Amino acid sequence: MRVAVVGVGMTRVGRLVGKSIRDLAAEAGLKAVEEVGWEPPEAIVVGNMLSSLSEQENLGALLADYLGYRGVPAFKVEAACGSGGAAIAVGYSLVRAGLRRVLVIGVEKLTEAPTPVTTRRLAWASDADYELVHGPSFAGLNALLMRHYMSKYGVSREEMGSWAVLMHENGYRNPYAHIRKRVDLQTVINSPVIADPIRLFDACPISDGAAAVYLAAEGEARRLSDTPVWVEAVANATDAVDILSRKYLDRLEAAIRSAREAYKLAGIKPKDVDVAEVHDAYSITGVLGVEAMGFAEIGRAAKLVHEGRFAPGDKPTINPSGGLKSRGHPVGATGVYQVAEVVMQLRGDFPGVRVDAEVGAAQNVGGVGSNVTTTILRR
Amino acid sequence: MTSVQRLWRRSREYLSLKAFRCRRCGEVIYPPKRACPYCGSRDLVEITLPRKGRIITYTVINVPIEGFSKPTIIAVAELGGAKVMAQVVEGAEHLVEDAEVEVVLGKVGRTVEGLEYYMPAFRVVSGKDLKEGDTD
Repeated sequence: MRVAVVGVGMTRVGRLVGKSIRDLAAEAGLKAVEEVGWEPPEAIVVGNMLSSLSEQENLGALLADYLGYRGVPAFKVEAACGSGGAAIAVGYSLVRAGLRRVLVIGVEKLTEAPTPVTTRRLAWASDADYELVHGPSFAGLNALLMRHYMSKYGVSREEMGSWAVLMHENGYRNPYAHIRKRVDLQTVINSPVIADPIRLFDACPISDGAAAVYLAAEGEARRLSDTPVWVEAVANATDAVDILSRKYLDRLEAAIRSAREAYKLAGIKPKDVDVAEVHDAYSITGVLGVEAMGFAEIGRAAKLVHEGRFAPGDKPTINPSGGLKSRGHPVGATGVYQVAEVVMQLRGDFPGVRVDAEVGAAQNVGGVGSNVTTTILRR
Repeated sequence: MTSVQRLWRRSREYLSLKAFRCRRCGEVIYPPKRACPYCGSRDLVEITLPRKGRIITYTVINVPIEGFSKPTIIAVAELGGAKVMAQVVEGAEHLVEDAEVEVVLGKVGRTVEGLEYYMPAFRVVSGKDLKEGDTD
């Protein structure tokens, strides 16, 4: 039985002081419901990591009631920065299991607390007993991978820096993006060091935002939408939360496993993908993500970006949204943004960089590559 | 930030650098798990990791998380086939990839209760501008 996305919605990403969790979720969620003519969902799945920053858990019931669906089954799914993709995976499974209409909302409100508090909580995605106890920030953990990768494959600072330049070039044209400004390579590679070798422009911003996708079973999808986008595969995979017990520090094995499984389920190869949204929490994450998706050999992605690959007009075009770097990273919402953005590309109504695409992919990564969901969509 | 009870609970294994070896595939397993992540076997034997090894990768964190000082220097070193994370508390100026380190006890941060605590940490023994035997 096929599953389709029949409605999407999203808020602008940013430091949205005037909007709470419920405001953000309602803005995105109800936009998606409006797209299907206000047909009520049979269940709501919420992707979120840190609603505790707003002193608010129990998001399923809270949002079902606030959005006007009191009584409907609803709950939150958490997989660190991969919570949005995980919520998509659960929503998709519910439709495969027999529900006809499921609303998936990803929502995050990171600026409710002072930045040091938010930064500390984000590091909770690491292993508390064997990593966090020594004091690494989340950027620090990614910096460990970035140094190893650059050293092992002889990747230059300029080559790594080209990732941010491409993301900002794309995000500049996305009206939903958090940081809508172009940057040049010199700005990136001379920006302040956060966790050597990660500099400010290697890192995504701390963002608020919400996105939603309305999933429907096949018959229902054709009734509710003239432009259903088919979910060809949703594949989740995990790795150790700690980076220490992994065989390799130069790749994200859960991302590789998730992508392979998604391609197999969809019956396609990496070369069939026209547009992809990959998870670039840091430039190293983006580079490893591109390689995990099979768009570049291990050790090659940063060099290819530096040579001009993956820009608009190339196949695949990567992160026309601007990625986490420029669109922003409202962590538990990001995976839902990515799927909604790819859906809009396939429908031809994304309001930023537009890609003429038949097949799209979204890759959402939680932790330092420990919980990954890859989704394949087709027009 | 960690808590006093977490440190109390794990103090013995932290201090002894406890790990496991898989009796079936021979791999060293660190941090400890309930099965071998490489072959799936539950036939594991507890081991103690050696206290000397080499740096695989490291980072100097200028924006540390609450409870830790600026900069916080974190390294991953290979100790007897395991990758172990710890702070670099001595000889950081000699830190390079492949530098030799030994495990010492270092004051690393503060608990949620505000107490300073010690953990196994790295001292750089030989690396940039430093050969083994140069220090005591």
